[in-house]
Amino acid sequence: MESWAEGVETIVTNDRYRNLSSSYFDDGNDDIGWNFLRQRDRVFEMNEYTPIVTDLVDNYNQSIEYGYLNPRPPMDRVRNYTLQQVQNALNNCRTVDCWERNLRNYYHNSSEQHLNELFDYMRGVLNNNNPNKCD
Amino acid sequence: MRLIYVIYFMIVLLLSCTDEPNESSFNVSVKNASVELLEVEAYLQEEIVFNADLNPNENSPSCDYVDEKFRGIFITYCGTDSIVFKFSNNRVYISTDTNSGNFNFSSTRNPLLPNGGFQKSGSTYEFRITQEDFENAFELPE
Repeated sequence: MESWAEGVETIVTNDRYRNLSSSYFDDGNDDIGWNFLRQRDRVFEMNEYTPIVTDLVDNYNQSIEYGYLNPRPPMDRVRNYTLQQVQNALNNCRTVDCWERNLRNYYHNSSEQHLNELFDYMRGVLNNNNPNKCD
Repeated sequence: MRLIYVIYFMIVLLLSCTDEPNESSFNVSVKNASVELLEVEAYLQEEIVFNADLNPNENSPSCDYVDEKFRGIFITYCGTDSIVFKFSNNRVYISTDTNSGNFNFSSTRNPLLPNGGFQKSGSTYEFRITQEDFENAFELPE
């Protein structure tokens, strides 16, 4: 739930900034704009605010970009879902598995073979015992 | 019935997790834990932005920031992407934020990375340069 809100916030904000000032995207935010630090998060340190929605939409693989971190951030080979598709797939779902299944069943996407790999990190976050998570 | 709905709604509100993630203050510095003089030079895009000589047991000025997570000496907050640690015998270590190069500490130690081998002392995260580091430092090529 929080990840959905986080994703909308990130994508809409960056879309807006892109229209207002393309120079906003620079080295200071890794050229990916507002909330760029979420892309550095590793599973063990994540809480409810995962970057899963951004990961479904963007063409950015943080596991490659930050491959020097140990452990690496999640492998993100999924790309080009739209925010609308992500929302439709989330409707009436109460589990991560349902969300992933709906995305696969509702839409054709050339990277959908990597959905399971991507959603695996969300399943990892559910069990990561991070004390900063909300109960 | 209405009262039940109100109570149910209030319980849902109370149990919801809608707060923004918690942020904490972090102080990070380099400590010279060897018995040698240590020179520290910090660079941003190959321009020197800071340098200091640290006597034994001395700490560098700290870089302070507020974040959800500890991120080491992070470029966004501390304005540096590489650090040269130079001993009086001219031996060095060079750490970069991409963990690249041939003069790194061991593969698990890098002050520019969040899990780069810091030790907590009070409220400060220290990257400690030890006597063993002095003995194992790299000679710069001629």
